[in-house]
Amino acid sequence: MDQPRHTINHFTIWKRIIADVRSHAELLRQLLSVGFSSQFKRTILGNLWHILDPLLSILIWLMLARSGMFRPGVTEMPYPAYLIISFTLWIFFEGFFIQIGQSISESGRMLMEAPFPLEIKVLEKAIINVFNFLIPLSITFFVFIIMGVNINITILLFIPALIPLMLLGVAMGMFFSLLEVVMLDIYLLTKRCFRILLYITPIVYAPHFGNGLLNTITAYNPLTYLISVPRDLITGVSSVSLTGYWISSGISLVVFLMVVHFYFISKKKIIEKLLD
Amino acid sequence: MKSYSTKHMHDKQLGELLLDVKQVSKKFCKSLRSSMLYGLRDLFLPEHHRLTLRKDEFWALRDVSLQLRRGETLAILGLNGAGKSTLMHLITGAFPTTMGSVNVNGRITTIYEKNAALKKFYTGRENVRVKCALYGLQRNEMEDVVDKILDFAEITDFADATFGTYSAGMKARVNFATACLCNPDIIVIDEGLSTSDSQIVDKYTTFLEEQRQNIGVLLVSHNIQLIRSLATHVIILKDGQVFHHGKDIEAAITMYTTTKRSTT
Repeated sequence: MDQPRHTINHFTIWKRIIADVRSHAELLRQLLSVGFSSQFKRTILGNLWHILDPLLSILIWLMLARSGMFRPGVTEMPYPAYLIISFTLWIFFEGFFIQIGQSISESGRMLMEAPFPLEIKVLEKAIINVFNFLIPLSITFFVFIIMGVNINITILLFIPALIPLMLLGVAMGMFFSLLEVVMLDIYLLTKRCFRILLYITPIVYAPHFGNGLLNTITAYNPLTYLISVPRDLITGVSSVSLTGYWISSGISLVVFLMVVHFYFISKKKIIEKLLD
Repeated sequence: MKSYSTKHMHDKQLGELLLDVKQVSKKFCKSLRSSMLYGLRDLFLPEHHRLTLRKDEFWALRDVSLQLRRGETLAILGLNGAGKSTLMHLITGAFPTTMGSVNVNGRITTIYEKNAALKKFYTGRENVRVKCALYGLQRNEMEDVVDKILDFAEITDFADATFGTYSAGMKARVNFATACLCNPDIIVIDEGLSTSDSQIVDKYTTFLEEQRQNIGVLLVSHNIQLIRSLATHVIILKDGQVFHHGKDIEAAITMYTTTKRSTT
């Protein structure tokens, strides 16, 4: 007999999730296989879009940067390069929210026919998002070399430094995937709010913490540190405090663990709403 | 010790217990808006309303109990809205029960009227692989089983064509073959043969008859002929409750058709 879900402790939840993932490893493999191959299935260029898409984005940002429509402040790398890497990181974060956010409703009919642990769908979406990020990231670094950006040895820490950003993105995606089923309004509203979040995070401008409302909000926004520190590791020049990064990483980890717990005990309650 | 061996012999005679549904109840909500609001509330607050009905809620199933043993085919009859599909969703684990328990011993596969889990942009082979994995098949069993399914569904020549290009009959065959050949212990058929022509229905009925001793089948269908040829037990559901439960198939069919006539 199953233990009542609200009394399950955190370690038991993780043990169950790991056991579920292990027993459904083949399902994850199959979903990843069709997930990768079906992304651009209806296009004529097919998998070429994996390269074409980031190249076009880079081109657009280069044009916008050169047009002088942004006032970026002082950046440690050429502004076009700054803009490209910032947006690549932003899309990486936003991708978790959007992809995982729709994962329950997307698998509704599958769940009706043969229920499976939803964490498998979360993992599938997260892995596809990481894969989709690595291609533009490689192109971005190639563009950096062409642009003559001074790359520091600290770049080796770039990928590990992204883990807290990833945890926060996955947590947001998981939490809102539950809300998307029972209260689509909140999910849509949050999706719109991501535009605002973009403007209060140093993406198109360099972080500066002087007076003014925007600067104060930026200083207290964990994303400021979670995006700026990995970006700084490319050139080795710090633009934000490392303490801010560690505090933000701690917040991300706590939020992630809390959301995983909540997701595990709540997922069963909302699946039937998919039929409404 | 004596009671154990008596029970063991009794079980052996009857067939291994595959499914035990005990006093299951399920409530739903008529209004979409209320359903979403209750969903949001239940997500964050403790469920005090489990045993009572809130505004717009109703009991879709009430105190339903049944058992299924290996070698049995249990037909579930009932008018539209009687709770047949809800019961199937509770048994497969798609929905949680409001009250009562469902204990399953073995692998369940499903054949529903709509091939919902199959995606139109995947090929037939990709769909079969995903569905096999969904039923819990591991990598080492996959290759052999996938080829058998494609062959049994008679779509080997179209295995790498996009699923959206398949006819309704081809899709139904893929669905049926996958559910039958993934080594199931229980097969749930909820109007799953309604889109197939009689030749295909005959083929699968023969398959189910041959496999009868190895599996348990839950059959929801309005096709009386199919029930006559497959069922070993019948349950009639009426307004979410068990109205009749018995082994006499003809008596149950008569009772069902009489109820159906009196309602219409």
